[in-house]
Amino acid sequence: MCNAVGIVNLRRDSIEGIGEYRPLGATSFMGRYRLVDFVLSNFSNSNINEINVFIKDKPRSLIDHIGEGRQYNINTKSGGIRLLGMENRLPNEAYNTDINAFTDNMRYITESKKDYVIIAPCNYIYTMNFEDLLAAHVESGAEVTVAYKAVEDAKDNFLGCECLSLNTKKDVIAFDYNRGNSHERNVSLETYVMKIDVFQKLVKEAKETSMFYRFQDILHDRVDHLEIKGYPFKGYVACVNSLQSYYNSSMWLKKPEIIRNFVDKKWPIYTSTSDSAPTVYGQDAIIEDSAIANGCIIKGTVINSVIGRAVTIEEGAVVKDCVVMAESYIGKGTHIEHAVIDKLVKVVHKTTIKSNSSEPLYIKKFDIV
Amino acid sequence: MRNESMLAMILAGGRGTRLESLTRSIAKPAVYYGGKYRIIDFPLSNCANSGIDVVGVLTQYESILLNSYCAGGQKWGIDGKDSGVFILPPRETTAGFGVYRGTADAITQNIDFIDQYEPEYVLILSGDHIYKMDYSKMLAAHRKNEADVTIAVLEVPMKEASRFGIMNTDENNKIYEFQEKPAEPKSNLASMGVYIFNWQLLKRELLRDKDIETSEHDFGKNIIPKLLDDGKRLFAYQFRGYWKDVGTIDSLWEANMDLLGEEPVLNLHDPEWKIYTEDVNTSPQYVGKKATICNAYINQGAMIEGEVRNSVIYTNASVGEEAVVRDSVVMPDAVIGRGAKVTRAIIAPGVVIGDNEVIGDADSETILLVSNETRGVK
Repeated sequence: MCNAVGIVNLRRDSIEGIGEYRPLGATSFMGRYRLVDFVLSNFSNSNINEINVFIKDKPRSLIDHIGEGRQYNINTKSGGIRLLGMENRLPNEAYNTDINAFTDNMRYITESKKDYVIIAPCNYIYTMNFEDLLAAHVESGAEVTVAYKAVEDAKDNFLGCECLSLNTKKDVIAFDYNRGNSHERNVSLETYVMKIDVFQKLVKEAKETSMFYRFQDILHDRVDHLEIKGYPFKGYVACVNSLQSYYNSSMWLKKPEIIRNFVDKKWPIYTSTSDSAPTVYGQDAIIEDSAIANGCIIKGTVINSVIGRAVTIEEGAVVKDCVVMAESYIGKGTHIEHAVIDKLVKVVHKTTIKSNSSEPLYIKKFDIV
Repeated sequence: MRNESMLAMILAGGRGTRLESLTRSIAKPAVYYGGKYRIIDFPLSNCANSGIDVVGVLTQYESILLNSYCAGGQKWGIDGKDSGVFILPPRETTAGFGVYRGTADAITQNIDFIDQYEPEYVLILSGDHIYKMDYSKMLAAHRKNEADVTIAVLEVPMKEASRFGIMNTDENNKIYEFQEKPAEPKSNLASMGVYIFNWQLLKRELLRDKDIETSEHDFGKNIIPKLLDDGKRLFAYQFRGYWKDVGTIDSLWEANMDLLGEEPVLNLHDPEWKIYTEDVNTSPQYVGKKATICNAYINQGAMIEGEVRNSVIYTNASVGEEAVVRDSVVMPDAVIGRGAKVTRAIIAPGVVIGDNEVIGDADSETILLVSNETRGVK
């Protein structure tokens, strides 16, 4: 067993539209997953079996999805996944920080017999062995280690993400956020490892500094006083923090040569089953370059798209460059391009929906078009 | 057990010899079907959907895989505190090592298991049939008829009736005669091997039958005829719907083809009657830029770069570029190489068909089974 407790942190990020209906972690992704599956599978595959998932708003879909957590291959008696809410929510959102959520639940983290804590976000998609991360942290003797990825496309990608400035010894000397000003950046994966008592101390200090402080703020404040190391991650990373990045990541991961770096027999990504039958394709279906989940009935045309579970696409319908979430219905004679269609949408009228800008169009959950 | 006092026992010891190398090392109920399922998922899901809480699975032939597959019952959601799927292979007793000598004997040897739950009724099922059936409706008919035994029957074409156990009934569905594989059948109501018994009656009969040396300890051959002779109330319950006993390679292929089409003969997409199975962790299926798919049934993890027509493609199977799979069944993890042609064949799990290889024949009368065993691959 890995000597660490896992924390899936609250996020400030929200995806336009999609975020109205569910916490970020419960957002459906690549047809059959939810975003949180990737971080939970990383914990599970890294032999971390004490996992705390923080939830702030609209918990229903995330509670439904995670449940007891058995699907993540975690034995529920020797460990488990705990869903932790914010005990003292205030009407002013600025108060509802991760620090306040940690404070409310600190005893459930400190009561663990593990020595370390690994905090990871639910909206960075990567597969990392946290045992290696922890080993590097212990080896370096640093107080905090932050995983990062050196990228060359930061002008268009990873916008708004935390970034690191490092010296040659990989010490973090400054933090900032990616404003898209340069191509090459060390993008933080907002994945931190430290001793539980260091974590506890930082949370306390944040609370004493400002009621509005988040965990990142106190780290940024203390960058000159704490020994913070960067841990270079060489694998593939996608970050979902906006509708555009959700769309782009979906299209990127759709490619078989990419998704195979995330989903692998030796590093499975667990999710909860919906017990759907295989997908059935009709006589006149035309399918190109698409990732399709189970349970669909496809009679029309699907090109360059990601299709969620139990979606129906009727004959004559054309779905191109789209992300369609579970149980939506695309009726006869419709033509949809460059859209993100939320769950349980019914496109029943003969319509053409095309986004006329670079931004994908978003169609709300339950909408009838 | 909670409300309905009926427990189910699934006979899952079948060898399925005519399924050739598919059942060389696994029992017939564990054979793959329909893109993602194993055959035994059907009776188990039917039990779950019919509200049956306790299911015993009687295994014998090559039982290791089946035992671990069924254990616990979580896959079908039969896993509450007072519920479960229990694996019941033959056991060693003071009398020595047990073997199930027949379908009835398998139940006789587990009377103690059934008695723990004190059920009023016992439902006997076969583990190797593909169908969707609500057993609670059958139980309602059993109660309404004040029956001792209810036997589910299916109308079969008259010319095929002599292959089945045939029930001759009066206008109230009361059975007055049972004919096992009759040369000249009087009716076309075939037994599906699905029985509801009043437990106390069945138990008495099993204990009596156990020591009869000439008995084959078989429900169809011994128990049912005896109860009929004794004047017990046996009723037929007519099932209308899809039912298939996949005894041969051809019928397994047919059952797969039955899933295809706009109005498939067997529809597994009904959210009201889901068939549950093992959840395998794989990525979604991917259909490539040059793929052609026409009338197909494809499961998650599959990777289609070539052409698939009238076929069923299972978990993690792949079809390479310019390959053509037609009227075929490609089982889990099988690989169809670039430019290969597969026609009227069942490709067994894990088989690798090489680039440009040609398998099967559009004009063949029978379906070709290609397995690592038939290809001499270890």
